[in-house]
Amino acid sequence: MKTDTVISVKNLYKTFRIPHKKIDSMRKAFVNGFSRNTHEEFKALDDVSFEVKKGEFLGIIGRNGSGKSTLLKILAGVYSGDSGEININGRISPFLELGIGFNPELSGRDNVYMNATVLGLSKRDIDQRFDSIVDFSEIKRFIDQQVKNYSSGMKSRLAFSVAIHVNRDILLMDEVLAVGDISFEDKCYGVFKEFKKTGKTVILVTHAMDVVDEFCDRVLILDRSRIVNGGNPEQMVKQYSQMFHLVNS
Amino acid sequence: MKQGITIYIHELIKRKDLMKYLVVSALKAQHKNSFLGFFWWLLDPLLQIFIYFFVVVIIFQRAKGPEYGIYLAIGLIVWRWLSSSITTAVRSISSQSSIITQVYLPKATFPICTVMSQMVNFGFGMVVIALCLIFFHVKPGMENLWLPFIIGVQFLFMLAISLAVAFASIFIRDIEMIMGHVLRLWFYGTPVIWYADMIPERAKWILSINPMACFLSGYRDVVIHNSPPDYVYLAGVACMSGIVIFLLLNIYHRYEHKIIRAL
Repeated sequence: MKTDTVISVKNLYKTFRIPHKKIDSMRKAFVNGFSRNTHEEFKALDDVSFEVKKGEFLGIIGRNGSGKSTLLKILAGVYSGDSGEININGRISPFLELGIGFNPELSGRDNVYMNATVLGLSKRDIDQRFDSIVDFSEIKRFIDQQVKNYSSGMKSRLAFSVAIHVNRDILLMDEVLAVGDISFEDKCYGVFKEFKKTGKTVILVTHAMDVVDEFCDRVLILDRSRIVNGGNPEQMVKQYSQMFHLVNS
Repeated sequence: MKQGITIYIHELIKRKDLMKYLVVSALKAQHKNSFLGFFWWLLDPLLQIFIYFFVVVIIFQRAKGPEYGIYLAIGLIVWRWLSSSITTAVRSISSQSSIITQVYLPKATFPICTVMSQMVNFGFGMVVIALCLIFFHVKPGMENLWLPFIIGVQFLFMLAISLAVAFASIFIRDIEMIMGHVLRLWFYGTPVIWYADMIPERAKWILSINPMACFLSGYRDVVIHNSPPDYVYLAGVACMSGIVIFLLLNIYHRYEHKIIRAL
């Protein structure tokens, strides 16, 4: 692995076994005891290899079910791959989805602490960043109210704000952009620019082609569990939309 | 290369702040919407004690007044810690599926947290016991210093059970249903509401294989009679629990990713 490579994935395979009947109780196990349990195999990732350099902004695009999220989850350590080699050089902030661990019964303040510790911050880290998190989310007035009284936009803003304050070298983002109105979106783009400036490595899974076009240095197209192509954003977005039209027509 | 289990324990320790917030938020969310709020922490055990007191003393007339009151209070409050820990531990991992399918966390975190948050409840239960003692004019003695030891052993014992049921219930959901009945049987087979010497001689073995019976008589010896608990037995339970916890953490470590798939 070269020194400026922070993530390298080689020949990664992942197959999910989807049982036709899920055996999760003793009765079913008993009834099924003698018949063989049939299952379908679904290849989620099929020989995937790529590298990400330090400070790179990598976009991954592809249709639903093409394996994007599975790939990110393996990088985040939620799933394990079946075979292949993954080397990660640096600390990953896995904000795959926003607001992980939010409890609607608790106040915004409590949820910030909860969510940030889930993402791996210590109490001291959060104490330091708390004001900045609240400022960014624009809900200072409501921070001590229960989150169940928040609008969905407020919830996502708070969650996004926590997520970007985790401050790790490598960030994994799975469709985290559709969270607010235009002014908040602008703010998020500002954060992206900041990430780029400070040399963070970002892997972004999204369907928003304009974001891909504007921010990504390089784009991978994932289709049917394989990497079909990779290269500069403009070409890739073009190829992707062509593929999409071919399938639709 | 470090050994798997040390890495796993290290991973758990690294998340001590997370554990703290899991415990605190579970406790905060518990009574958030009730009128009496946190007062329920005291009211809940008190009401339970009154009900059993009413049934045993007034209806069955099997025991008498103050002495039994304290006996019952200790029994029920210690038992509550066990039963509430286990019933919440059974679902502790699957109820957090929204978190653990998104972020890698050592799955043993969740059963550990349930035992800890129930320990806080137990702390409030101890306040209720203290109130009973003051009410019935029982003076605390030096032997009360054994309490942290007994609590510690019980903590280990319950941690072992909680880790086991939480893991097993992911793969066999029936365990959740079975546990309710197991706990009820265990409750009536343990001298919680009855005196240990009521049991016929030929059934005495039930008590000697039941660590809960030992914990209970330990608490009662220390608090009521001001005499030391059966510390040899307790130390034995502590060692056994320690070994079981170690083995279970090994199993958790090995099957971390299987858990996600089974959810």
